[in-house]
Amino acid sequence: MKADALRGHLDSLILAVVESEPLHGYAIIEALSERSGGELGLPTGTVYPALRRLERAGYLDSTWSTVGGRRRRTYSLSRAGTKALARHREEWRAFSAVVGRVLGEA
Amino acid sequence: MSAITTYLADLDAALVGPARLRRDLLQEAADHLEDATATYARAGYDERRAAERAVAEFGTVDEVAPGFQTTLAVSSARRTAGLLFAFVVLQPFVWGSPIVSTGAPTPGGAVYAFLDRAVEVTGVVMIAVAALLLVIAGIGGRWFDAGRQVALATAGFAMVSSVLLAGIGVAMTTAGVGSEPRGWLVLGIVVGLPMALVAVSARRTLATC
Repeated sequence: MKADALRGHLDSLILAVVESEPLHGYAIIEALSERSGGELGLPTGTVYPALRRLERAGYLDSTWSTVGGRRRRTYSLSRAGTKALARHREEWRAFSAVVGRVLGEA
Repeated sequence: MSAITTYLADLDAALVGPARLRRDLLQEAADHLEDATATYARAGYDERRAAERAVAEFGTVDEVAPGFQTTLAVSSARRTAGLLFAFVVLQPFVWGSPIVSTGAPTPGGAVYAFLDRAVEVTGVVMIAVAALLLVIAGIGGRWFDAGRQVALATAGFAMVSSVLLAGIGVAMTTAGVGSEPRGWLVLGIVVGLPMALVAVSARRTLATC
């Protein structure tokens, strides 16, 4: 799979991995890597600006909290983020259904 | 010096912007690199190689710094736009307050009337544009990516606004009270000082672009 195609959906992928629980940056990147089967292929440091951008947009909330005895910045999905994720999922299903129908006819 | 310490020093040197946010970003990077190093150490790497691998996966400073710098630039732009918005919104209230207003009749003359109208119009434009820039650099990220161009536009607009407002203030004071010291003192406190703060903030934002 082309990593560029996955990167274009980075925002949605990040929102999806913090959907179930608040996570700190490293845990988010680990979850992204695990769920993508290691296909994302991004320098991990480039995910942090994306987290800050999503926070500015109001899709993520963040707090400094103590995890495993260390202070970490932890990100959680906001109400606006939950709605945005639901919208992205809907758009993705519609898109993949259309492409699937067309490609399936060959 | 470990690979992580060297890397963080290089990243720090590559970044310009609000000190607190820069510290937060570097702390997050340090946390990540420590976690990644611990993961590789558990997988059997010796500490030096674990740290080197963590740094390599994080990305080179050239790959990572532009994203971090954009975060700093947009944050600085929000601060500048917020200052401009707040100071310009407060102007009519301050000028109308009993502490500043002497109750004297508005000076006559076509020049003063023109300047009075000009300050009203430019004030409204400044408030509207500053509010728009605040939104663009904030939740505007839902629809488009506010990058360094937005920071550049904010810095430029704030710089021009601060000079323009201060200039109109000087012209109005000259036309209105002439050389009366109180008028100039009020102008300095109510317009000069806030606009100087906006200009300094704009200059700092410009440095992040």
